[in-house]
Amino acid sequence: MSDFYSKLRSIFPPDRLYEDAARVTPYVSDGLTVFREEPKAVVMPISNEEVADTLKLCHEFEIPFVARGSGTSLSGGSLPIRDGIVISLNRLNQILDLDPDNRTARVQPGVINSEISAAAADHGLYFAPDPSSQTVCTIGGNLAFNSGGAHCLKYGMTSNHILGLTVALPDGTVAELGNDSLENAGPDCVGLFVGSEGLLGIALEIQVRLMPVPESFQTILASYDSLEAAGDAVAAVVASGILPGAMEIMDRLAIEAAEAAVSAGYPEDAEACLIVELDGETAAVDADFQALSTTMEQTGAKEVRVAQSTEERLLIWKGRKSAFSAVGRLSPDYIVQDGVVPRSKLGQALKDISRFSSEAGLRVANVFHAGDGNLHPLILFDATEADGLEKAEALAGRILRLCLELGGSITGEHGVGVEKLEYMPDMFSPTDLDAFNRIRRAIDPKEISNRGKMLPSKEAPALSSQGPHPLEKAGVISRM
Amino acid sequence: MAEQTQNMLKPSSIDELQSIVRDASKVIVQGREERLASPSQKEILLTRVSLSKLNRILEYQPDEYTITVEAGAKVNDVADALSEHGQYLPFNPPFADENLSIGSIIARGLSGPAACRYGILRDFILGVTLVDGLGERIRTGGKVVKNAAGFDIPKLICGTWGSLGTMTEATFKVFPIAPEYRTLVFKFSTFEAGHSAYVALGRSKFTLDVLDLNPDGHLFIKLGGQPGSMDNRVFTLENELGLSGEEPDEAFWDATIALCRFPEAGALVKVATSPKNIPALDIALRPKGQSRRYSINGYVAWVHWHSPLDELHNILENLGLTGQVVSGPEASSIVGNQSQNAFFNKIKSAFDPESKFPDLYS
Amino acid sequence: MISQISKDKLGPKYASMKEPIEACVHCGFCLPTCPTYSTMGDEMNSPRGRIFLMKETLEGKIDPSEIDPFIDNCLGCLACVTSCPSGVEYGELISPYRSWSEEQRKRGTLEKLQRFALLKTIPCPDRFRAASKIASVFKPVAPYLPKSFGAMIELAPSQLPEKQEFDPIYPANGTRRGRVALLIGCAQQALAPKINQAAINVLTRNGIEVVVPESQGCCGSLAMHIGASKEAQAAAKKNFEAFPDDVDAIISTAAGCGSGMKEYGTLFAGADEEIADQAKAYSAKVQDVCAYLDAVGFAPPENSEAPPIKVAYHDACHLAHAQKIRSAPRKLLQSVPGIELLEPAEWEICCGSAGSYNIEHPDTAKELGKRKVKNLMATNPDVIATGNIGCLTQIEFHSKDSEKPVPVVHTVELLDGWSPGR
Ligand SMILES: Cc1cc2nc3c(=O)[nH]c(=O)nc-3n(C[C@H](O)[C@H](O)[C@H](O)COP(=O)(O)OP(=O)(O)OC[C@H]3O[C@@H](n4cnc5c(N)ncnc54)[C@H](O)[C@@H]3O)c2cc1C
Ligand SMILES: Cc1cc2nc3c(=O)[nH]c(=O)nc-3n(C[C@H](O)[C@H](O)[C@H](O)COP(=O)(O)OP(=O)(O)OC[C@H]3O[C@@H](n4cnc5c(N)ncnc54)[C@H](O)[C@@H]3O)c2cc1C
Ligand code: SF4
Ligand code: SF4
Repeated sequence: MSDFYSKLRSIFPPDRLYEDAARVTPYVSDGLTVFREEPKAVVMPISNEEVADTLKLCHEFEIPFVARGSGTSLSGGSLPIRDGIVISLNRLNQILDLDPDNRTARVQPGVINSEISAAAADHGLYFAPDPSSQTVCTIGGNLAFNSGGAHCLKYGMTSNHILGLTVALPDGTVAELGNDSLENAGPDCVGLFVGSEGLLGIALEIQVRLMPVPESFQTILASYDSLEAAGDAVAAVVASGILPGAMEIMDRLAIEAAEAAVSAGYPEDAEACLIVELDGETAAVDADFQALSTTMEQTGAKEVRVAQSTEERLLIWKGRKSAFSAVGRLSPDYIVQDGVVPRSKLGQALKDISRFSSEAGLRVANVFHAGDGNLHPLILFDATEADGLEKAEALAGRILRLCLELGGSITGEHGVGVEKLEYMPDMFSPTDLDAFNRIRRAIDPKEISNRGKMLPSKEAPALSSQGPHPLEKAGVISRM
Repeated sequence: MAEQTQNMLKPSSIDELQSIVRDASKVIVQGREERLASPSQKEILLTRVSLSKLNRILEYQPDEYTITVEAGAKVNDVADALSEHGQYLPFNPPFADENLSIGSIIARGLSGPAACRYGILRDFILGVTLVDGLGERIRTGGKVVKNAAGFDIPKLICGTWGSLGTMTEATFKVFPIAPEYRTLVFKFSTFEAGHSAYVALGRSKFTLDVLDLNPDGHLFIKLGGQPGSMDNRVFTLENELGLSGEEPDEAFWDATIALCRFPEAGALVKVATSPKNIPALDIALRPKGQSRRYSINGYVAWVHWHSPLDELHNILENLGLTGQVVSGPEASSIVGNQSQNAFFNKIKSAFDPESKFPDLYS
Repeated sequence: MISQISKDKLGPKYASMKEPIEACVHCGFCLPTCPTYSTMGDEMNSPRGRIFLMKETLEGKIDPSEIDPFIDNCLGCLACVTSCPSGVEYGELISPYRSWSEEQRKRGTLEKLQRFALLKTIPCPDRFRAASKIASVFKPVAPYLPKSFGAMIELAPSQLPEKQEFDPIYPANGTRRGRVALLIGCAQQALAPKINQAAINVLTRNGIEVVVPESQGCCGSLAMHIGASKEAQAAAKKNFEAFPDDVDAIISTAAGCGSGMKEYGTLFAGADEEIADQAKAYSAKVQDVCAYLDAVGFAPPENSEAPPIKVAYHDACHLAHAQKIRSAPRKLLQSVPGIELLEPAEWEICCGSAGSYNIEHPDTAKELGKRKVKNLMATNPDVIATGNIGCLTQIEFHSKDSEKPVPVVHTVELLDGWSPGR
């Protein structure tokens, strides 16, 4: 093993290879701080070759590795692996090329999501996927999780905006997948790589699709007396045949937190508010707005406000996008779930969640991508209580199973990571999981690429739904 | 036991299909068995399977905007069911006259011109169930519009021509049909002029359903929306282009590459390209005089090729482009850039370790 | 984020550090606006990383000396506070932490000497004047000195303006609408006494009486900034005595001093009640000159012939982030006839001045200084305005190399009718 590290030292100078506590410790957790794990080392490559050479070495010595972008994963995706290394991609952060006529950009994985739109703005273009964390998270992380955002309702998730990739496979070979077109000729290998949670290797260069900035927006903020009423309003808009760019709901707790963070002027006396945004050609938006207003009138909203200026519109979004972090003001500890339900069952799901919440005696804040049926219950708990986290996780489990019962999914965009591993067998049969494992091993026979994530594998054999996390039992991870 | 006619097995359940695959050494799926009277010499050694009995719409709840169908269902039947509720498949499955099956449209990886507005097949396929080379039934993706759990096999499978397994079910995300559409043709006098407008429109504020270009410089546009807004939008568009649009003539829809049916002879090749690459591609193809059409705002070139395929392969390779033959005897062949080859073959070995299904890359 | 920090072990002076640490949810929203993260790209040089390291250190898991370099790298610009949705008061963590770790650490001799020199010179206008003369003598050899000593000398102005004395009191013009005391600052008073003069002019012209307490000294912010809390407390106490009670506000024209004085509450946490109360009362009166003018009402100078000028406004961190004052200076500037306000990109990122940072960390400071000047110059201004002397010198220094350097002035100078020819 010492051989491995001496070889690693020949790839990286000391200021880009961290082995001491002070430089390794800040990498022990991602956005899900209830888990932590010490890596053996953190490396900070500045070229594709360095990444490929590192992977070759990892492959040779069977050292597990995890790629890391900005470490905002909410499912433990970038949690280090015991006895493994972290490959931090933050210095591979250049926009390599921006082609306005082809409406594409080629970027390195460490580029921050919103920087792409900032660079494209001069050409009237933008990068559509807009996770709430877009000012922080990297395109590499977005790609690994197929991240979504408020505006993915109409324009699709990250995957729909990634055209081509240069990747380093887990054995260090470099492959070109896809192309610079929106269409494929042959199998969609890019589609497979995107959303693979880092299990198939590391993306080195990413060809993204840019879209023209819509000519017009109309943003409506409606408040409701109950969360279900807001949920039913979403179903009504969806059924009306109008296709908004975004449809988001926040409940009272989330409104309170977001308002404290950005003073966006959200209705403070409402139990829930619904944000609906139309975008497109002015004439089309105006016509849709008429139709939408008619529909909204019948949803029993207490108050309907239309953003009167770009500033007002941006502030509404800033508040919405700050909501997760802002909930930190209500409770320093919370876990976010990410289940999806069919849109027609939103009202029911929200009612059940609120019942589960009072039964568990834990507060739940809801702020989510309603148009997609993608729930984000934030379960607030007191980590100083002996069983605080256990109680929260039990409630989280109940919510995820509810999503599955209603015909949905355990994750819409945050990924499985380590956090939802235990629910994979509830969603997929052993045959399905076996197929996933076969694919994984075809690309990574030693299972070194982000080992222990997404797929229950040899590191986490027994999965149980109660008590300590299975990975904890297996000694793979530990808690702070 | 599955029903059999003319050497063709017709399973009526997934269990039957699984046992067929387990027992066979080589399997080929054919959705349209009525087209071939008897198997060719080569095909006689194969177990030929038709999914014509697996043709139901399994789940369709219009207010959910998703639909789950069996792979043997005809695309046209699915489209009819959707349109009854004012909905459609936004990737605009082409070749309506061929009456393809859903499985075939996915296997061939086909999207039509109107995919310009919201995205291609891969953007609308949410879940897929398939029987792999071990005869296992694998359910991947989900039935809700958003799902990040597990590998995204539904996307991978598009364009794989049955090489990874046999699809039995698929779930799609669907969208509402716009209340009104307009189709216009703008007759620019040269290819260059048409192409400049083509590129400019792609970058513009206009949200178009179809944006196609012919080598003669004619631009085909379709746009949809609320009735009250259409005149205004067409007016703005005409202003922008400095030309008035005409209703497209019949000749256009009868042309070789009308994307309604496969050409009688020769190979129809789908080339993945980009708006700026089109002039170079067009120039390279001109000497052969092959008919072609640029679609989805320049991200796809449809090429009707009559010469040996190797020649097209060389042209595309020089331009760094990839194409796939979608009809004709060499259907499924990939021409031009083959850089995904090694990666895909590894994936294939995971799905089909005994090579029961046809190979895609040789 | 849960922590195992023991308040008892830390004692009353430092116990409050637990709150900001636990309020952090590790979301990383603060990363992109942090100047050190955006130049270095590693977690330990980010606010989230620093908070985490401080947590681990305070929990006893890491030795404080190991994390010193990363804490030292922090500019204290507080951009992270502005960008934090969870309301983490990083300023209330870093200052006490620095002081806590200063109690635990042993510094290298050269570094000690330099810190000593800094602590003793900048806070005293006369000594600063003397030192910068010596420094200008050494300028030619600066490249051969240890890096950060070199920076100290490089940045020292080669020529200082005439020393200026102020009257103890300036009566209001017309009806008196208020009475304030002015902190004249130390470095600022030596480098640019004209700023205080401009403030006095603007205030009195607007009906405000201005007292300039004679026995006032340094506010101690710089010492506080680098963790020398003992020195900071001594300086503050001196001013508690020097400043009169019967004023409406204590006005600062230097954002760094203003924000420091607003933090006296934290500085005297755990001190005896009487002095702690005095600190709180003093802090409560501190106001930035622009915020004060905006609150009491400001009439622009009557100068109808003034040519139109394009002003690029630079948000000083200690004004925008630490005191959350962004709109007041803009509003005031826009009310002056002829002024067109320009907004540079990356307003939230520090110019690299940050107290003594440009002296202790010359490389990062230089990179940030250049980046800031680039953004400012991209707006194509006639003049650059800012509310802090540190930023002013830093921007002036780094814009020397630009194609067409423009003057850099304090906001209040423009409010006093500054124009290019004057
Ligand atoms: C406050 C907050 C709000 C959020 N809102 C949203 C939201 O609205 N929508 C949403 O989808 N998510 C959201 N997230 C989750 C998170 O921001 C996303 O998952 C994001 O994509 C992670 O990006 P990152 O750069 O932080 O990646 P990291 O957390 O560093 O890594 C995430 C995963 O990507 C892998 N990875 C990183 N780079 C590469 C690469 N180059 N190649 C291969 N694998 C790689 C890592 O190994 C890891 O498995 C939110 C998170 C926070 C903290
Ligand atoms: C000159 C010439 C002309 C020809 N003309 C025709 C013609 O007009 N019509 C014709 O049908 N054939 C024609 N062929 C033969 C044709 O190329 C095929 O060999 C055969 O027809 C299969 O086509 P299909 O359309 O039935 O398959 P489809 O059902 O359309 O399938 C197309 C591809 O998708 C795969 N596939 C279909 N369903 C599934 C599923 N559920 N899961 C996985 N994969 C699936 C198939 O395996 C195949 O690879 C012609 C051949 C020649 C030489
Ligand atoms: S933004 Fe605030 S809560 Fe988030 S990591 Fe930074 S300090 Fe912590
Ligand atoms: S104060 Fe400034 S330098 Fe220090 S952590 Fe915060 S943003 Fe970074």
